[in-house]
Amino acid sequence: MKAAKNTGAVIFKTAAVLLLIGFQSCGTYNSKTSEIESDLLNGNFDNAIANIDKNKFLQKDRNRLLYLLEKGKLEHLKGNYEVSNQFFEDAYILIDDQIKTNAGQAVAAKFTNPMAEPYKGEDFEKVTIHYYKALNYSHLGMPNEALVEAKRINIKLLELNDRYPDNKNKYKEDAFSQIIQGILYEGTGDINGAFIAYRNAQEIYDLNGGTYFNVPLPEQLKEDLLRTSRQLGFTQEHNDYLKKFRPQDFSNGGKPSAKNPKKEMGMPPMPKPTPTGEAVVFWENGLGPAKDQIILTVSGTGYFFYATYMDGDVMEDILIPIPSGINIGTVNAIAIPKYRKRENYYSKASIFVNGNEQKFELAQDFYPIAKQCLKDRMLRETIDLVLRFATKKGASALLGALADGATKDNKDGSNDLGDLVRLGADIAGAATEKADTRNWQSLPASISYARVPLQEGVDNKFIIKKYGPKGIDTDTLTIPYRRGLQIVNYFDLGRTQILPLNNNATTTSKFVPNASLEPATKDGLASNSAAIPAEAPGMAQNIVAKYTKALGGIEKLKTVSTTLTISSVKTTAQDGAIITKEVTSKTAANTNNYQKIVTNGKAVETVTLKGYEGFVKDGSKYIKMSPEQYNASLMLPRPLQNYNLPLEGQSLKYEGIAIVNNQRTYALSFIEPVTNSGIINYYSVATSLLIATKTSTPLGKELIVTTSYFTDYKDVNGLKFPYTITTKGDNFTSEERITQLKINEGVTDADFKIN
Amino acid sequence: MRTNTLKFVLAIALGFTLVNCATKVERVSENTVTDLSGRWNETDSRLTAEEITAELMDHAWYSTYASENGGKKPVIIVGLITNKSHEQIATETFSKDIEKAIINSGRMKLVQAGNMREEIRAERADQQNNASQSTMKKFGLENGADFMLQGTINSIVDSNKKEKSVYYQIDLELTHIQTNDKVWIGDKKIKKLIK
Repeated sequence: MKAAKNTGAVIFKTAAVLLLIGFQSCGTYNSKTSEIESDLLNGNFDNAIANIDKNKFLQKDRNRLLYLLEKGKLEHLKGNYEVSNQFFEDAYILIDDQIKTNAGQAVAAKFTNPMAEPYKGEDFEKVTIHYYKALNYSHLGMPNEALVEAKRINIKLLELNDRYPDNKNKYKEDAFSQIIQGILYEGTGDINGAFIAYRNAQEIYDLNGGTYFNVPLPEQLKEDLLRTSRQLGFTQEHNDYLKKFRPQDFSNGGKPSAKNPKKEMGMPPMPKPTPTGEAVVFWENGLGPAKDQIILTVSGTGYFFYATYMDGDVMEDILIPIPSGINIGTVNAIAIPKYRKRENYYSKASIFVNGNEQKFELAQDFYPIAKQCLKDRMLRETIDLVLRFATKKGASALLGALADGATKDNKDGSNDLGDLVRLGADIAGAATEKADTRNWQSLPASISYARVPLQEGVDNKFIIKKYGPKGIDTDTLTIPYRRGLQIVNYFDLGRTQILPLNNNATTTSKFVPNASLEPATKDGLASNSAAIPAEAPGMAQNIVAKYTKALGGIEKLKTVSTTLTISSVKTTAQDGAIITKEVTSKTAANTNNYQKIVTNGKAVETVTLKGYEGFVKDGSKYIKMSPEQYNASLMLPRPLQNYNLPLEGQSLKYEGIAIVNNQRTYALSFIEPVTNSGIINYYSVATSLLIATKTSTPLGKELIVTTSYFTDYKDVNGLKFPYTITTKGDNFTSEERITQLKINEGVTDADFKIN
Repeated sequence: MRTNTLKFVLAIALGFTLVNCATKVERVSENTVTDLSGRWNETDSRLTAEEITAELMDHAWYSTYASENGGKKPVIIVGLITNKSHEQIATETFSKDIEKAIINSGRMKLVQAGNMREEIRAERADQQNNASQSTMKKFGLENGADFMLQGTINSIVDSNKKEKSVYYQIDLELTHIQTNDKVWIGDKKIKKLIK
């Protein structure tokens, strides 16, 4: 009996270990890197890079490729092109040397989770590395090195085409990469090579009815084919393309017509003279799809595991044969990865060339490609799913059998423990079931492009117009002149617009809660560094959490029950009058507040706020404030105002990035429920501290808007307090300098007594 | 029961230890025919160079020129070999082979073309300022070519489900620069069937 108990314990422990492994690797790759995602959306690339290096999941050896891809992309976004290329080159070598699964990883993957295996990259990711490498080289002014990437693209594409020769893969060509290749060849003056690549791209479109993975044949590609075939003197090809793309221009088969007798035989004239400098501008929009997982569960028996799931509007099904001799038991789960589209803020964009609006033409849409790649791979990897399933079942059967052998003491020969153990192991198996949710997540959702001429000898400035749900945003792109063809990219991961907030931010316009963002102001930062996501779930909470942490931590904050502040306030009115006051302010953790204001040694005002009521001391009598007066008094900056923010409130709304006093800040808005004020808090991206707050309070028929700036943060008992608070209103500016601040000292209940 | 299940689990685990082996690289002679994918490869390049060079050397254009010009060696410049095929083909690999054969034959002279010629000229220009009088090379003394060698690569691909045939035709032409006479046309045809 004792022995049986021991065996049981061992078995349960084993099941517990299986469970543990499951919990350890909980969560998708996307959820493990949510901080990086929000940094990306906000254009905070420094933080994103720091977070990647801190991310334990990405630091694992098996995720090396993923790390290199994400890091390479981030360094590219930051403009560190050389560093970025080092990462991408490492990634390329890693892929080229073939990433191998070692025995231990394979077993771990079979038992628990395919994410235990090294990440090997999706086919389209392997090709896209070279796009970024080429861009980096182009930014560095190294067209010959970029050409190497063009050749590597070719090799990668051929590999792709060869690897699955029986056409099982739908994604075995990449028209966009062919176009890139063409552009790169053209960049080094190899028009012939460019023509071949453009033609190969066009043939992909032709074979797929004119649209390849959601991308229609770009007009630019037609232009490219016409131009290069003309430059090369490929008369026959040129005429064929002319007939195909410009039937209206192609009369009499290119022969001289009566109308145009001077037209040269066979070869129509060049449409425009080629400029000496040109640029292909790639517009990268949004963030590419992220991988989620769905868990399909089924109870039952039979030889097949069959389940269906919805992928968008399409119903997909999955059919997995169950190896014979395996009792699939009662709890069955199979996890499969699924792409989730991350919506773009902008729908389209255009660039202005000599006053003409030229649209960015879609060249690559990663979502359908990613979906197809995954589907292709899933078909090939069903066998892996079966093995994973069988292994888990095998393990649970094994545990059950061990338990059977150990517990033969039931009278009827049944074995409760055996069943129990099997169930336990099944549950453990179901819990450990995870899909591989890794993918290169800093890729854009789509890439569009436009070809623009450059004027010699100057920095060419182009206006870019971007269309979003909240109107049109504009930006200026500067491309320095260089001879020949260069490639440039411009990206909008989220919304590239700035919330206006300058030093005269006070406004008498009506405050509309949750109003749409105000029109753009130029922030003087790099043209594509600031971004505002259309939606960033958890963003606001994240910012508040960082803020409280920066202040000293939530636990520390909770220990504050009272504060005593003595400060001098200098107020400058609109008419130039200056009033200097000494303010003694006492607050308690409840909403009690006491303020004594002394001017020139004489007490002029004593205010006590208790709950939602305010009292002004008139002589020795306390007079209750009107709601308006109470609201107005709430607007005075107090040290604890910082914490008045609803820390867990759902009403918090992330508005985007704003520039306050030349600092990048996150803007959070909320409505103060008592005063009905609209409040926008601005938290520094760099320090996470609150550096400004804009309050719009309805007072009668007016809207009072004040903005307070918090600077000179100092440490008091391990907590940070701003020692200088500058408040600007419609008709005044006040500067409060704290001379003394005490926590949990010098404040008693008597201070808030109203008699 | 117990041992069977155990075996099953072990079999799965072991099966995966044997999947991957290290990459092997074997050095082979440059003349080895390695047809892997059916695309243009180094064997095609080599065969093209060998055959076309042989044709160029044996053809009567040379003796005609020599007899008309008192035994003077013809000067040849290699122009562009244009790729009109469906693949990216490095034409330099065989055009360099042809150039080498021309030089090694000792019967013709070859002059530099393209980018390399530009570099030579730049160097010569630089010498005018920086080299000593005695070693400075003069302008205007380049050998003018008598003939230019030009060419094209074309391809036809025909495929049906799993079978594919690829046909390459490489045409090279020698033209007299003064008279525009085509004095020689050589070709190489390659056909491959890929199943």
